Amino acid sequence: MRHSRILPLPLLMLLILLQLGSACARADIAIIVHPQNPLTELSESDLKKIFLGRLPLFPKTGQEIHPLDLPEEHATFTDFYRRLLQLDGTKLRRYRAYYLFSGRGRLPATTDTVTEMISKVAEDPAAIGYVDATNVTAQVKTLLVLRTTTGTAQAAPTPPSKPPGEATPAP
Amino acid sequence: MLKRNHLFTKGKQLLLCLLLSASAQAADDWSFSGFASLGAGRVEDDGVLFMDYASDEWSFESDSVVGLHARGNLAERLSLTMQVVARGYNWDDTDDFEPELDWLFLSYQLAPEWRLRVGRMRTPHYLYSETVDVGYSYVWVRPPVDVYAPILAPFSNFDGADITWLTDWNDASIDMQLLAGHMQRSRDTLEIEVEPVVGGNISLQKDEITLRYSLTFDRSDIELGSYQPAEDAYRSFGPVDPVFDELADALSAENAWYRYQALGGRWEHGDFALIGEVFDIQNLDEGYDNPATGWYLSLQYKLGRFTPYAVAGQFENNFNSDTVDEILGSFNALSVGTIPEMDRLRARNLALVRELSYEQETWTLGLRVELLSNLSLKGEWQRFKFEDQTTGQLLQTSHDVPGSTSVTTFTLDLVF
Repeated sequence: MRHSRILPLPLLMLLILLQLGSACARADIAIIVHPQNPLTELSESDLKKIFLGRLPLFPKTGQEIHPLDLPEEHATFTDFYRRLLQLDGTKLRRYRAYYLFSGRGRLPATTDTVTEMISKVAEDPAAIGYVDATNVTAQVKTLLVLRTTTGTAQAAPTPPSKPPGEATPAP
Repeated sequence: MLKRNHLFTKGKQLLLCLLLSASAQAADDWSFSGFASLGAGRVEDDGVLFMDYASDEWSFESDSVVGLHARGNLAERLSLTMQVVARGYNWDDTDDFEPELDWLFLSYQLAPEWRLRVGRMRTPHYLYSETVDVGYSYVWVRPPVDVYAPILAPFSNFDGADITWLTDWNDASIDMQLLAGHMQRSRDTLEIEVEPVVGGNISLQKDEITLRYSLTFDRSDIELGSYQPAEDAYRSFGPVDPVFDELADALSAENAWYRYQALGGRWEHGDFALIGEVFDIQNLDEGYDNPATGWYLSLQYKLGRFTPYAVAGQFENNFNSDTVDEILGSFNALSVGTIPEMDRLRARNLALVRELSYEQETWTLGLRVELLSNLSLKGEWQRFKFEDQTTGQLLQTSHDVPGSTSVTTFTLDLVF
């Protein structure tokens, strides 16, 4: 904001509008795994490969990965794929039809709600999922956070501990 | 002997137990999915057929297809994949909508970047070869015919093994695949056996650009029953002049090595995409010769739920191009009128060479519409232009052939 004096007014307004728009549509997304998963961090490029189906085993540990998805209609699903892979609904579905029916591998298993996503990740040491960062509970470990401000990933902070009951179910 | 039997029984029991426990454990780990297309098409002019599309009425089978896919985890890193496809139009002896096993393989992930598969797989000649039946996965009604040519249909599957390596290099993703196996197909009096097929491909993807090169070698035995009498007749005149042996060789495609090369590229920039591929098939031996080349260039632009597209392409097949000279040369060794039977044979052979040597150009305009999240509707108008009284990839059904024609097709494509 301190640059406002040197920016022309229309441009400034446009910037504010853009900021508002992205603030409405976006929240931090946490990439979550089982608490006993020995990994402590994950690069954004490995995360991309996992959800494109190009990386089937966890780096370093070599354990098979079980990726999980929220339902397609869920806002976090749309936001996650748009931000991570720049893929909208149609392009993602076409890519997945190609990927699946050309025998390249498995697609992420679908969970119905954020609560189910968290409990599945808490049960399966090989699972990886994503939720709105405000929904993360102590049952799971956060490996990476996709931040709203820059759209890029940052290393996970210490997981916020929140009682499981507070996880908001999907709309 | 008794002891061995006992051990054998024990072994079988153990194996059965292992399989049962594996499948019980994996019960949650099976996923089932599928795809389907319903097509309707029509050719504009009389005298030609495109697949089963004719000019007199709309027909609904040629682009209609149903596929079911199952994948299960058998153990850590080990999975089984199966895909059964029923097509309304088949190039070979398969009945309409008779289910065929397109994929059946075990896959083992050796390391994060290395995967081994053993079983039946689709032959990955081109960018979309492995998913030609999955209409939902591409923008067109069907992948462009100038490259995804009917001539390749017999080689769509192979039984064997492949190994893939997925890696990164300077921010580019690199996929490499090596494969080996064999294939066998038949139609009417035509028998094709390929042993072995060996090949590989490499694709590079960086940001908006994908480039792919594939190289495949096939040793093919192509037996065309109807050529056999002609081959024998030429062979019997071998002692008269070597040119007759050459003509016989040109009709025999036993153990002929073929080389398939293809280069493809895709540029995706936001809602815009440009896709192009070119291929070349050459026979590496003397004698039987049936080289083909083709290319296409496709442009598409997504406007919300509508994606209009345009494609240009060309295909050329030159069956035994040396044969014409050889037949003309044979008239020096055995002039016209000496043996009427041989004159008729040479005339038929000249006609065959002309018929199997053809060239076509195509123009396509189409539109894809997203109806539901897993359902799309496509409409396409494709113009074919032919050379020298031939009908390109269309089947000639009368003496009068149109110099050009068009095919109109609509499809509904679904994934589930």
